[in-house]
Amino acid sequence: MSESTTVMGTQATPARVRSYVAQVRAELADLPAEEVEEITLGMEADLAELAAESGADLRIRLGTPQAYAAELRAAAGLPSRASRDQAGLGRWAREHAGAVRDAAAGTGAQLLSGAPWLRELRGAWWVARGLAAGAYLALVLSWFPATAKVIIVGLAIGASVMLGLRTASGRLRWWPVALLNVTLAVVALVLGLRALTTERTAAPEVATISKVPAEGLYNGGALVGNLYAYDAQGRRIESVRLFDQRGHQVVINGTEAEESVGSYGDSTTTTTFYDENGEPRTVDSFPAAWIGPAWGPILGWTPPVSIIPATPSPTDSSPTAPSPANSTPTAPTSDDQTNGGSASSTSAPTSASNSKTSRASSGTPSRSSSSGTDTSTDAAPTSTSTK
Amino acid sequence: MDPTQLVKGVLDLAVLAVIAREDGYGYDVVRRLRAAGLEDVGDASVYGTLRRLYSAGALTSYVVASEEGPHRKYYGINAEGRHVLATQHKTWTGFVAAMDGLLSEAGAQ
Repeated sequence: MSESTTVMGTQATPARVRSYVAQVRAELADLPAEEVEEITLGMEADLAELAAESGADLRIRLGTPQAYAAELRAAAGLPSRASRDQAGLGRWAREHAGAVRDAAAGTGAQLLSGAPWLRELRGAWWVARGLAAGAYLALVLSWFPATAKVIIVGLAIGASVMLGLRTASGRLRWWPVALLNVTLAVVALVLGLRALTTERTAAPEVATISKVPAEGLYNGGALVGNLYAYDAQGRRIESVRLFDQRGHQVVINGTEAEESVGSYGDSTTTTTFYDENGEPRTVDSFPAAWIGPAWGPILGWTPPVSIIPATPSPTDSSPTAPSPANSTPTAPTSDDQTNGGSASSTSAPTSASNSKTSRASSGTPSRSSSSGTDTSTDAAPTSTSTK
Repeated sequence: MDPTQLVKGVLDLAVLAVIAREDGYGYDVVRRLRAAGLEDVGDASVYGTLRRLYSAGALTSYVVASEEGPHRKYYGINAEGRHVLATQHKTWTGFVAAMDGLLSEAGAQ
């Protein structure tokens, strides 16, 4: 605006005047358009003159555009906006935003007067805000290389501090910054909650993984890779076939054993049995022969030829006596797919290296003698028959 | 006693009196009212009063176009406005007389 234009009625309008009038118009927006036009026509010229005359801020001289519009309405006999505004939401939000701001400013001032050192923490808060924003960005841009993420976080911290400085100096309006802060807080809350919930669901996942290889044969929680049988006198039985309480023959499928063990990542218990062709085979007669040293140390234990005889049980003198119920696991030759449940016939002497006496010695499996696989009785099979 | 409240009650009369002497635009009216001694008159109140008096048919209005700035809106008085002015003037005179009487009695004691 040039100084020479103070001729009556002709005056260029400064931006701040136009802005003020625009805000007044916005406050009157609920009125008919022609009414707004009528009432604000000439207002720019008048306020520009006023501004040029007083030099003071229009807001100081006239109050806020909202107050100005309210006074205008009252004097003009127009209904106040509160009673006119059907939607009312904008007004409501504005008023309440003002109330919130005032309350926040009041609380802030109280806090600051009580603890002036809080003001010194503003820098730390700005850094923390930048860190949060940067971390969130880095999370979203997960495919970015780590160095780029570091740079992003650094830039975010810088931007946050700059924003803080600008807000502190009053060069920014308060509400966009407040909006940003609230958004960041909500994002942090959501991410935190999600992290908590995923942690909680992760635990059962681990549990189910540990249940996956439950198909194998277990003893004391460890997968059984081979079995060594001893008779009551402590002599090792060179070949034995075992049946569980359901009459299912205990077999160890080489492939499954390997997979199960592999899922534990325990290389020392890898118990894969191969036939002569190098194919995994199912073991149904124990102990299984190893390709390699026949009685090699397994898990640090070398099966001795004989062990200490079991203390004779008074109630059970004849462990081989067929129990009445032993008719159930009738056919050891019935290709009962049991523990492993996978392929390959069990009865056929698939392992030529197995000892010849196997079939004979296990002709009549006693149901009681094959009590549960996980009763870890490391003593000889004393036929824990139910009394 | 709040001068702002007092002014509000007599603003119609004051604005009519100013316009009756000479046509004027909003801020011009404000300035003349203040120059006359009504310091507490509000800008927006004057604009609103002008608008209301116009709507009531007591004022005329015309726009003076400007080549380099926004247009200016002038208000002038008409017959209806002069009638309102005269009526309110009487009311005001009676009010002032009553108040003066009250106050002089109070001052005499």
